[in-house]
Amino acid sequence: MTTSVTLPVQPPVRYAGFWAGAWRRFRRNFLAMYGIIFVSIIVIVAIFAPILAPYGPLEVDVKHTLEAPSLIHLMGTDAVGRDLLSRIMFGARPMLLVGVITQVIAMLIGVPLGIIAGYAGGIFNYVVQRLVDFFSALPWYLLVLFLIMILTPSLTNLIIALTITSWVYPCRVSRGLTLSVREMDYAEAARALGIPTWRILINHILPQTAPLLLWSFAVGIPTLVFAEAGMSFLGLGIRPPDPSWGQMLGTAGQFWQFFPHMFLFPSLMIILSILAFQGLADGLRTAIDVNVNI
Amino acid sequence: MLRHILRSLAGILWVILLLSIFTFVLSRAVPGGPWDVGDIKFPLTEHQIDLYKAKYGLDKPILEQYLLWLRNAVTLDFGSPYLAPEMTVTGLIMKLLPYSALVGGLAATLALILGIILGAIAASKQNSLLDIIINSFAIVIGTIPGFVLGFLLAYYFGVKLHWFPTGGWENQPKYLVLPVVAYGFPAIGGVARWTRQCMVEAMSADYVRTAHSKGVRQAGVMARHVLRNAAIPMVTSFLPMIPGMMTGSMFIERTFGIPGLGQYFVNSANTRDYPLIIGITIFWAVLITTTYLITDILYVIIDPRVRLEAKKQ
Amino acid sequence: MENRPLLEVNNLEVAFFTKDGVVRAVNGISYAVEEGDILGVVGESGCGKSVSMMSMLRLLPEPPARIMGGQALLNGRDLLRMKSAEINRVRGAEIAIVFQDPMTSLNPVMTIGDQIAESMQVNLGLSHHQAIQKTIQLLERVGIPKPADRVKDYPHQFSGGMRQRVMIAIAISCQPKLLIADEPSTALDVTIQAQIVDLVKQLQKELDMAVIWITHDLGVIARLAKRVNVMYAGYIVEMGPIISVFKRPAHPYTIGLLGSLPGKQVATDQDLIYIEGAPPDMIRLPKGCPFELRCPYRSDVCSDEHPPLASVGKDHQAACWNL
Repeated sequence: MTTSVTLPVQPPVRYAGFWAGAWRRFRRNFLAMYGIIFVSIIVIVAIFAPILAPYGPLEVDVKHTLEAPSLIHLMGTDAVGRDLLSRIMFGARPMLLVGVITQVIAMLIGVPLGIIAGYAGGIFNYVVQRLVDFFSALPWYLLVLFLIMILTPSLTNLIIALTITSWVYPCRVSRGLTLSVREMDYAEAARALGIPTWRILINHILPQTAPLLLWSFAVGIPTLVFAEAGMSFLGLGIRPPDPSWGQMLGTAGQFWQFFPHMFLFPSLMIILSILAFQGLADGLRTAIDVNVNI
Repeated sequence: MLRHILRSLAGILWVILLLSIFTFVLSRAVPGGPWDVGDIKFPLTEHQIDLYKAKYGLDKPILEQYLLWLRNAVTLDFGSPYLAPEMTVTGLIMKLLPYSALVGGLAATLALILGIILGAIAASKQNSLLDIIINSFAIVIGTIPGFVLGFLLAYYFGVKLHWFPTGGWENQPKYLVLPVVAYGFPAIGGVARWTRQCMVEAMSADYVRTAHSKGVRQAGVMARHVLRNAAIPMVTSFLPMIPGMMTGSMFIERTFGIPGLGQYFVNSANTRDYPLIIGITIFWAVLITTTYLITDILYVIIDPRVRLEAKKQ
Repeated sequence: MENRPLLEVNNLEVAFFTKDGVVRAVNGISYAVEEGDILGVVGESGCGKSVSMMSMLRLLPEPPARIMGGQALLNGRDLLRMKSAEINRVRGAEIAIVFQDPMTSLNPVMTIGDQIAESMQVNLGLSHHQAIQKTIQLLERVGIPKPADRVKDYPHQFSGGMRQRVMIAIAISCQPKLLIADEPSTALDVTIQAQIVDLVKQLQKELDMAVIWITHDLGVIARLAKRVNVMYAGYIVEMGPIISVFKRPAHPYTIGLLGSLPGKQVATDQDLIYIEGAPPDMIRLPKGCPFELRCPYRSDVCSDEHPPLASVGKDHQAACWNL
């Protein structure tokens, strides 16, 4: 009985890679695209602020205090006559620095800790887990406020304090991922073949966990932007006269009731920024189809 | 079961203890103290600083300081605030607590009620236009920080329309409206999205298909199968929101000038009022971790899978 | 004696509207099931066997699925055109389904007693207490030891095979006239499989139910069924009495399936026989015979026109141009 038949030749089907598919899904998300565009603009503004800003951010002009938006001061001036637009532009810097750098450092600390804890187990895993439990039991503002009090408010100290509370989530995610990947059959096969551990980690575990780690990077930023705005608002972040949007809200003082431009513009920038980073994180989530169950 | 609870309790006590050590040691590790703040017109001499230190008990070795503090703390005696030595920390916390609790608690309630309703609607009309609208609304509104929204609301409803006062506190409900709305509204977003996700996951489960195949009507399916399963992750996420919002109200308190724990926490950070700041920190930590314990217990009660695991131990 | 069949399906067509295109899952199938009959439905994954059954009970989510045409007559009443209140009355009471995966098909936070009782409460109007009493009897009937104790247990306290017995108990609780078993033993290991098959066989005799058993496992069909439908790409390509189909298969696909069963090859070290190629893309079904590209007997007409079912024996039909 015949068992095989020559099939007609079919053109090979080209399947897009994982990231190409993810990008397509990302592009379709309106909020995510807004996020990318806005963040790009803000980064450019922050980097080129000295060139783009019409005035210096610390330039005091007592003859033009509390002016409403006009042609020479597009966003008006504050209580000591500083141009608001310039201060807003420079205010992008602390926002980005705190948001991104903190998260980068948090990932650099948390991810390796998590992967090693997940893969090696034993006492290391136990210690890391206890640390994670401790930091997870308390809300971030508790520890951050306390640390700022100890270290005195400044941009650097804010980054340090926030890093200490932010490394926990990436650590948890990567530990959980490592645990699940470690048990997968292909990891076991690699071990059986005698492939050294570090190679397994880099060649097998990391590629599987990379999309989720990218997402956990993005998802932490909106909270950090909020934290910078909030801490500066309370006077415990970026101290005057250096501009920061949250701080501008906090020092609007009693003036905001009569000079709405003083709080409207910083408010707007804060909202738009958090929205942008949130959109990025959300877009990433649907793009790479995250299902985090930590 | 009891063992499971005791284990959780032990875990919490560890956290509080560790936190107390952490805060205590850190606050003593920094040079300077409450005498550095305020109208000091000339630098203090070594002798004067030593006198101050003795007054505040800061000249003793740190371990002795800590143990002394610990012994008092267990009896809920956290000393007196440096800047208000006529009161006790515990007394001050009790006095301020109602304001924060009221604002935070009401805001959390607002967020939970509206959020769950919106989330349930979105879940039942999955992928419809209404669902997309609710989802977008939830995302956008969730990104507005409470204190920012507070300014916007205070300006419009307070300054322009004069409907509500823009801050301060007299014992009247109208002082609560704007802060509660500003604080609670952004939280609706997260609640709605999580509700929707939990419900959709329950609704698309195989056992729902089984229930339908038995001839159970939609109402019965929702009540006995969907809600009971969706409630588990929902409760475990939503319960901690209540103390969370009570302790996180410092931003909104600053916006509206509400004399709550949050305000004093920030102030004591600025003035280095150690007893007060440590007292408030520990108090908040206890509040939050206790809620986690309650949530844990609740989880064991409502999820039979966990309950039987716990019983086995 | 009824001369009308219990279930009569005519030209059932079901499609799924997805963003990648329209998946034509079921393409005009017709068959009948008499009272007390046992029908096996065989085919590979994706051939439309489950979809056709679920669509009859309207268990498919209406977007993206849509019933494009046809009838499913249960004692003369068209299931496909019933309103939701009516179809709810049919579900559980007249037709019951046992699903494939017993791990996820039971509600994890409800006792199995309550879940079995629920069916009787809804369909027979029993009180909770009465229903629980009957549940205990049912549990005994399906072979669960210590039924009075286990009534209060939760699904995760049972093994896979036990859970499937619970599902069967749910299904037969209201003595339906038709039991549809959608690959109920596929997720279980082989020895348990055999027990489940035997259980259903006994129950079928006791309750005089009609059974439709869906599977891709020919061995199960051989043990259980009286008649068989062979499905491919949403079509029924062969149907008939079990002995006739197994002894004298007419459609090349059926021949291939039966030929691919490991038999002598295992002992004599010959290569296993298999069917070349892969199932067609259900979004872009060819206009001719869907099996054409894999068929060793194909001819020119096969790619141009779709073959209708033609008689190849007593009550035995196959859809092929080259019989």
